[in-house]
Amino acid sequence: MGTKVSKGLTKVSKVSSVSVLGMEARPVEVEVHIDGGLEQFHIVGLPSAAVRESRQRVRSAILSSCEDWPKTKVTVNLAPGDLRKEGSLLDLPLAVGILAAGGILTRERASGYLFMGELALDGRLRPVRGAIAAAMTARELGKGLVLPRDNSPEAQLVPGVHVVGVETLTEAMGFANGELDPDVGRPKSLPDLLDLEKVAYPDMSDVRGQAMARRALEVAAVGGHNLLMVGPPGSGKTMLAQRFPGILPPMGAEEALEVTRVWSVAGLLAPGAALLTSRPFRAPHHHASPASVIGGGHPLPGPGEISLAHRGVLFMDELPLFSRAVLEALRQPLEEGRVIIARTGATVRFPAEFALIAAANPCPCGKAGDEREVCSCPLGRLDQYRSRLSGPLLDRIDIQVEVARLTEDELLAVSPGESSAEIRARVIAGRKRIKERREAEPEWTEGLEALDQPTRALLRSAFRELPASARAFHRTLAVARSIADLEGVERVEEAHVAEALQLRRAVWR
Amino acid sequence: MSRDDLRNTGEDAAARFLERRGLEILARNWRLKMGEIDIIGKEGPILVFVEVKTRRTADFADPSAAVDFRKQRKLRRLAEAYIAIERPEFDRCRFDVVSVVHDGLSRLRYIPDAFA
Repeated sequence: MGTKVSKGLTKVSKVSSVSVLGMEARPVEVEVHIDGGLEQFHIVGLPSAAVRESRQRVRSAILSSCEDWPKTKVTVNLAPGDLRKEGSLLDLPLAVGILAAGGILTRERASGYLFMGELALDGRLRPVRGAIAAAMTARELGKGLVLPRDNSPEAQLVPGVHVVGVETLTEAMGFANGELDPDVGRPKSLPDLLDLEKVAYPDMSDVRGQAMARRALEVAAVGGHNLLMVGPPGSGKTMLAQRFPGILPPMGAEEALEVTRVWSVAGLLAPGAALLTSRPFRAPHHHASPASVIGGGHPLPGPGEISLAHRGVLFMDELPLFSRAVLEALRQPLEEGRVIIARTGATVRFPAEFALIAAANPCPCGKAGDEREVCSCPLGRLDQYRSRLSGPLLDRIDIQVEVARLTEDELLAVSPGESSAEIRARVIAGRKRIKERREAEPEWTEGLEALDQPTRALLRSAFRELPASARAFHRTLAVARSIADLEGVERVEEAHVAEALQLRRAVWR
Repeated sequence: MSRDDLRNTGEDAAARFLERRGLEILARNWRLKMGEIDIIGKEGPILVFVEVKTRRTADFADPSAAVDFRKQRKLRRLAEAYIAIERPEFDRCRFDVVSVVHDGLSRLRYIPDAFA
């Protein structure tokens, strides 16, 4: 009598991981408690559906790795308890925690690392989203990072973090036990990676004629202006837009890292890929939902097309056909270069510094812009079509040009147009001048007082005739400044303003 | 060996084991219409209800895996009935599970306080 009930050995372990929220990876502690009683497996601490499902994956992966699954009660707590835990990346820390609590792992080495990764049922590791963000969090915490090998090239972009890429749970355990040091490989330096093969964009020399549109693209490339092309179907709007990234200067290391981080969070990097070295070109269809263009999703918002186009080009063909919600939601990112998405679960922000290249038919039937044809649209429909683009949105598009159909002479011309490389050289030179001026005078703005008398007279008469906002006025000056920079002229002159006005004709109203 | 023989073999082995551990057995196969409790004992002031699960092999799962939520609920109800009918003086109880794998020899796994 009086025998005490043996509770069995109560065992606890703690493994560090993260949860990806927006562009950030928040630290998460995975606490595992192995207790007596019947076999049970509970996860508490605001796990999402994907995290709850990891119970099955983790159990199978541990058994497939020839380790014992505890035949008793396993309780997992994810701390902090008020942060929503999303995604399958907690599989690996969960498995490591269970093995540590079961005494199979010595925890000393594990405590210096963050763990992330999705487990396959056979114990192999699958790549996850947000490895760069996790590496940055690891650096802040002064820890290393153990993650699926497919993710290690991107994580290694963050300097000063010991990144360990593993292929299986067994390998991860071997590392944590100090029995195995996977060949982590030397991380490549950013400049080395930038020299890697780049996406070849189609070349501007393919485009015949369209002098005005070519010029518009060049000015837009120098000054980072948004551009709207209006013209009938088949006039070459899409062709021109696809060639725009090819005339932009190549990305620098910092830019490339920013872009790669967004793509990493979106889970769009190819397995084993490290750095995105080419400027992204995104062309969402006009039926795309606001969440897919702007960003969103359930339960935690992810980046949309505008953020995937960060530091690159967002091409919106048939701009007026996009939903009103999409078009109006573009205004904040166009202005601020970022987007804030508020949901019940969380409020997150994503970068969205992109060049907007938009295209539109002049009218629903598409014939209005053609001299040889007559538009057949009923007036009411035309008005309705035109009104789809709001004043405030058009106000933010600095350059608006018409792209006419080519004449038979232009079509039959054999001499190719200027190549992308030649244009890009001028764009790079222009951008260099802008950068030098900004560095010399950070507060510099093109004040009206700097303009000479004829230039001011031109501006006055132009803005007397067409009613336009103060923003339109200042944006016109900004375009004139870009033209001057493209030409290497110190001061904005009458000709620059005249061309800027040409490039912002009321092609839409 | 029939299913009943297997069950009795397992329950006998479990009862011997528990007695050696110091459990004073009060009843075995205490039965109501809704089901039965394999072993009832007492350990000091605590009434102990024991479910014994016997299998010929543990290849597919531990026998204790069969004590699922419904079985637990049934045992809880039976225990309440037992206390009310037979032993109203007890106010503390515990549920144990003994899982037996019998392939010629009986191998026992004892899970005290398996559920509440």
